[in-house]
Formats: sequence, structure tokens, C-alpha cells
Amino acid sequence: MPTELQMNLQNAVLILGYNNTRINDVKRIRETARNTLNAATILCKKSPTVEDKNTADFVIDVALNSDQKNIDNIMNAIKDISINVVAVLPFSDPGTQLGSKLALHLGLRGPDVNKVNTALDKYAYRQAEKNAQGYPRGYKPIFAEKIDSFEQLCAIHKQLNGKTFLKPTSEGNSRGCMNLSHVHSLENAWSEVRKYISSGVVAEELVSNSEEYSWDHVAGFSWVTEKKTTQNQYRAEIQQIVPAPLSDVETSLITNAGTFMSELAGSNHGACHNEVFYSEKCQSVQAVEPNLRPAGMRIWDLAALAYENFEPWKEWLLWTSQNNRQESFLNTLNQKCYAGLRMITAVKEGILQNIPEINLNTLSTEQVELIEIVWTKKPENSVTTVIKDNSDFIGYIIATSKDYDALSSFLDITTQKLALEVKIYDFFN
Amino acid sequence: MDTTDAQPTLNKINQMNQMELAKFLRKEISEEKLIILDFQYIQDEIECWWSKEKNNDNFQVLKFKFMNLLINSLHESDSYYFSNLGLNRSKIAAVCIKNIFRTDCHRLSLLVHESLSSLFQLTDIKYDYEEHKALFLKPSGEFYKDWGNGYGAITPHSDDLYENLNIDYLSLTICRDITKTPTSYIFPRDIVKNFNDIDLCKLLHLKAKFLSGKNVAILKERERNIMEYSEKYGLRFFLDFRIDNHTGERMQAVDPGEQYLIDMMRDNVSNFSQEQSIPETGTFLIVANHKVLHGRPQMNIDKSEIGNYTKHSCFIDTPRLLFRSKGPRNEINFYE
Ligand SMILES: [Fe+2]
Repeated sequence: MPTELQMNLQNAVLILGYNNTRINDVKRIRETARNTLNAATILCKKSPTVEDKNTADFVIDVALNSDQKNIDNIMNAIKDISINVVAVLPFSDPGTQLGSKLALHLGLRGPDVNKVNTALDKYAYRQAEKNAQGYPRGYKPIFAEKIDSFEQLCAIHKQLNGKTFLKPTSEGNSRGCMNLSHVHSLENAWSEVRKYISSGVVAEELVSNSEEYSWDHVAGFSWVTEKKTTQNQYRAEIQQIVPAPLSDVETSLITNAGTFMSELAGSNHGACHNEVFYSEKCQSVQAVEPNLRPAGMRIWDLAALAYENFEPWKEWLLWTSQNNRQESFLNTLNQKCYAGLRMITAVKEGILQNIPEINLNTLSTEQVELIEIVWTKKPENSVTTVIKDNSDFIGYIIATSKDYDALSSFLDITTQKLALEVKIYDFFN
Repeated sequence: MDTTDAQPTLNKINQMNQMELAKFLRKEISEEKLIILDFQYIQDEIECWWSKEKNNDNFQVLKFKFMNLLINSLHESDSYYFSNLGLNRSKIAAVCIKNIFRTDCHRLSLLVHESLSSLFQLTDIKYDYEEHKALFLKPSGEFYKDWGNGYGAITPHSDDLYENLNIDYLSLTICRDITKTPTSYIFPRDIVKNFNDIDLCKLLHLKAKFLSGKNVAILKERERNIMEYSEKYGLRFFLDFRIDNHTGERMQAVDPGEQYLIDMMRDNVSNFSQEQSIPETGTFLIVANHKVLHGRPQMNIDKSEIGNYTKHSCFIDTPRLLFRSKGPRNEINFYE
């Protein structure tokens, strides 16, 4: 018989922020939390909006760095509403920091407080990488240095023979990233990254002749995602396919590298989205960055489509709340098909006027099933052909197929076809 | 795959001949229903909880706690309706809940209102140019009809048809109503009762122009079909029979040759006796805005008294105080 105290305690999961526009994933976490843990969803973030309040069951206005006062604020708020926190979900990059401390404080699973800064600070990861006691087979650390001045940038650029990649240390969504071999002058590059200097900018050796992948993981389930980026200087992510079409040997090289990265970052088998470069020629893997949160661009939804009986969101909640059925964190996934997402680029610059209604069935083929068309821009939004980050696309599609090549060309052709259907008011006529 | 049990797709409907289509339309609209629930069984618990919590001035905390109270104490047969309003699979067009509370307190009413609206997945939308949360008699109200804050009758309509965003749900909570003026509602089946197959099928393609009225401070206009079908929501109607003092008929056929269809519907609306809600403290009404039309008879008070009521109208002494929300269904939507 439960005591009166226990009966009044309502279970709740805490979400620590969300990156960019991922409010819809917050809705999904809320649904999953209610259905699998019978728990309410509390969103913790700085200056919550009306939309945040409409989405979560309760919102706590708090900064997400790991200051003790933020922990105190959260503890006071959960006391006010008499809830029993059963899971802590770091869902934003800054949230990983507070999340690890809070989980420790509450006796719940979370990232390792002593290592988690490498998941937020790209330079901290390079240092941890440099200091590691040995690497998995094929793993090559990347030369990196923090820059504070234009002179430093010039010196490093020279040292790297003009093959330099610039990265703000604490930005996501490819924001501020730049391939210096594509820019007209170092002055231009400097003026663009200046605004990130206060929070840190790293100059790294540019990785060439490599393809981008991510090793995605939750609660012992992992897979490799193929990523394609735009070919301009900004390298925004334009396409993902799960699983990546690699040989077993290649998949295990990336898996070992991903596992190594997650250990350096202290993931403790939680959610990981570790981005890597893989060179077929050298059979080598180089780390872009570890992320201790679910992947963006709906990679978890692609995995749910590609694998049998796999519900990554549910697995994440079960892991943080220590409710997993199994205690081993080596689980295998059975592939059903390939699932891919490709972004749609506007055909010209202007103001979006009209998006046609499209029946998914009419575009699907014998080999490829079109699952979703999503427009992220609406009428009256301005649109551009210069993609600096993911928010510059006008939408995306998701499709599945048993055949990788068929899926790949379908994604390419269909997004081009759809882009032509969108009416854009052009400033010049 | 056998899809006989599933809702027909739009393609399937487009392939129907006129007789099949008319039969289908009649069947669909005849199944929509209003559900009346009685929360008497948790009223004491709610009143007791409120007497302990009423000095708490953190509305967000109160709302969270109150929603928990409801989730934990309601019968499953009642909470079932929270996620099933206005959908094709359920055919539940409206839910009216009586006896939720008995204390006439505007804070408690607002709390109950916001909590139940959230549980029914209503995302409240506030437009800058419209005052919409509290409804009560406002100064100059006696000069208007077809206006929520006025005295005169309100002809059946769905809300905000001139806006770009569809309002899926509309909710009202009664804090007090000494005038005993109910909300009235009418189902599309009664509006098209005497239509023959030809005219009924024409409605699927009838386009009308919708104008904003007294309730908003700017004039808005939109052209749209008066009827739509989707697998998720089923048939939805976009009808507004109000006549505004300033802008006139709020809904007009785009093609004058089809205006007779709207006139026929308007006749039916004025001749059918409309059903009415329960104008008592502690009643919550939520309607699927495009499944059932709502309105209100003239306020149940003598016109000569209105001046007294509106002169000092505030939450404490206004004779009729309702809280209202309206907005789209809150769900995962990757289009945002
Ligand atoms: Fe209305």
C-alpha cells in the first residue's frame, strides 16, 4: 500500500533545452514519456516562450550551464509542484552540462560530469583526443588550435598549407563553420567568424578526400548514418541515409571510433551523435565532434524506419530512467530497408508565394516509398539559394527503399522536382 | 490490403458517383455527436483542493497541479474524450461538462478553463487585434448583435474562417451567468436536412468569401471552400451565418449563381430549433469548430438594465462571465 506521500508524487522527466527548432521532438518526448513512463514532461530552458508552455506540461525558466544556482532553481521548482523526477534528458548542447550534474544530484543516469565538457567545447574534445592513451584501429586525431586574433589565423593557415577549417567551439547546426580553401581572402573569413571569438573559435586541419558519417547511439543500439553536405564553403548538411551503405569492415571502423569518442565524452551509454570523417583510401576515421544528445535532422526517425521494432525515443527514456529490459549495452538492430532524408533548396531567391499540395502516393515508385514531404518555409517567408546552414532550406523529404542506389537517386530527383513546384516571387521581375 | 474499415481517402471520394457521394455525406454528418459529461463525482475534491490552493499566485504551478488532479481522479471513460474530439474516427463534435465546480471565482474558473483546454489539446491562439479570453457585457454592447461581448443574439457560425490558420477547437467555461443565457449549437446535418442529392454534392465544391466582423479591429477577408474532407478529420464545414452591423453578410458565395445554396442553408438555420448548453457556474463546453456551429440567443436580461451592467463591468460584478480559448489541435507537426 503506497503511503500518502508516494501517491501525491507525480513522475516527471526533465528536458534540458532543445536545439534550434526541435520543439516537435519535445512534443514527441512528451508523448513517449506519458505512454512509457506515465510521466509528465518538464522543459527547462532560459526565457521559455508561449509555445514552450503549450508544448510541455510545465516549464522552468533556468539557464543551462552547470552553475549550482541553476540546480537549486530546478530543485525548488520541482518541490513547488511536488513531482518525482524519473529521468533527466539533455536535449540541447548546453543542456548536456547541466544535465550531467543534475542527473548525478538526483541519482539518475546521465553523462559523466568530469568528461562532459568535451561534448560542448570542440577544443576541449581535441585536447582529450590528443591526451588519449591510444586509439582504435584507423582512428587519426586532428591537429587543432584555438585562435584569438587575425595574425594567429594567418600563421596557422600557413602552417596547414592553406588547408584550414574554422569552427566556433560552441555552435551547432553548422553555424559559423568555414572551409578556408573556398573563401576569397582570410580577411573575409575573419570578419565572418569574429562574432564567435568571445566563446571560442578553433582552426583545424582540413580533412580532405573523406566522406562524412555519424555514429549514432542510444542505450546500446547503434548504427552509422551517411551524411552529405553542400559543396560550398559552409558545408551545411543536405542529406542523411540510415544505415550508411558500407562494408562490415568499414562499419566496424566507424563504430569503434564512435565508441571511443563517446567514452572520451563520457556518454555512459546514453544518446550520442558522433560525427566523423571516413577515408576509404586510407581506411582511416577522424572525429568531427561528439554530441551527447539525439541527432538532429530526424536521424532517429530514419533509424526507426530502417530497423525492425526499434523505437529510439522510447529506448532513450528507458535508459535515463533505468528501466531498460536488458543490462547489456551491446544490442543488435535488424535492418528492414534504407531510410533517407534530403533537404529541398529554393530554385531562386525571393519571397515564397505558394506551396502546392502534393499527394505522396503519386511520387512513390515501385522501389521507393515517399514517407513525408515537409515544408519548413511558409508563404511570405524569404528564401535563398545560398545555403549557409540548415535553416536556409525550404523543406525536406523522407523516403525508404530496400535498394540504396534507387533511394539515393530518388531523393535527388524528387527534391529537385518539388523545388520547381514551389512558386517564388522574385524581386527582379 | 483490405481498407473497408478504414476511413476512405480523398481519392476514393473523388471517384464516387453522385448517388454514392450523397449517401456518404449524409451518413458522415448524421454520425457526429455531442457528449454531455457530469463531473459531480469529483466536484468536492476540486472545491476542497481549491480552498487549500487559492492563495497560491503562481498560475503555472496551479495549472500543473490541477491537471494532475484531473488525470488522477477522472474515470477513464471520461478522460477518453480528451484525445478524441473532432476526429474522423471518433465522430465526437463537442463535449459539454457540467458540475465541475460550484464556487463563483474568476481565478478558479480560469484555472479550470485553461487546464481542460490543454487536456483537450487546444493550443490557444491570441491575435494582437482581438480581445478574446474573457467574455462579458462591454460598454456599447447593447447596440450590437452577432458580437460575443454584446447583448443581441449571435447567429450560428464557426470561428475565424477569414484567418489563414484553422481553428480546430473552441472552448468556453462559465464562471457565472445570472442571466442564464446558454450557448446554442447546430449540426451541419440540420443545416442541409432538406437538400436533394444534387445540391448536397454541390456543397463540396462551393466557394465562399468570408469577412471579419466587429470582434476584430481590422477588416480581413478570405475565400475558401465551405466543406472539406480529410482522412484524419473527416468532413469539416466552414460556415458563418452572422450579419455584421458594418460589413454585412459575413459569408457570401463567390459565384452569385451559387448564392441560393447559402440562402437555403440560412433558412434552415433560422427555422431549426437549436440545441443549448447548460448556463451554470462550473460548465465547460468544447466544440470542434468545423464540426458544429455555435451561437447564442439574445441575452436573457431586460434591455433597459444593460446600462447598469456595462457601466461598472469588471470580473467581480458582471452578470455573465465566460472564459474562452480557441486554436488548432496541439500535436506533433513537422511543418512548423
Ligand atoms: Fe464564435
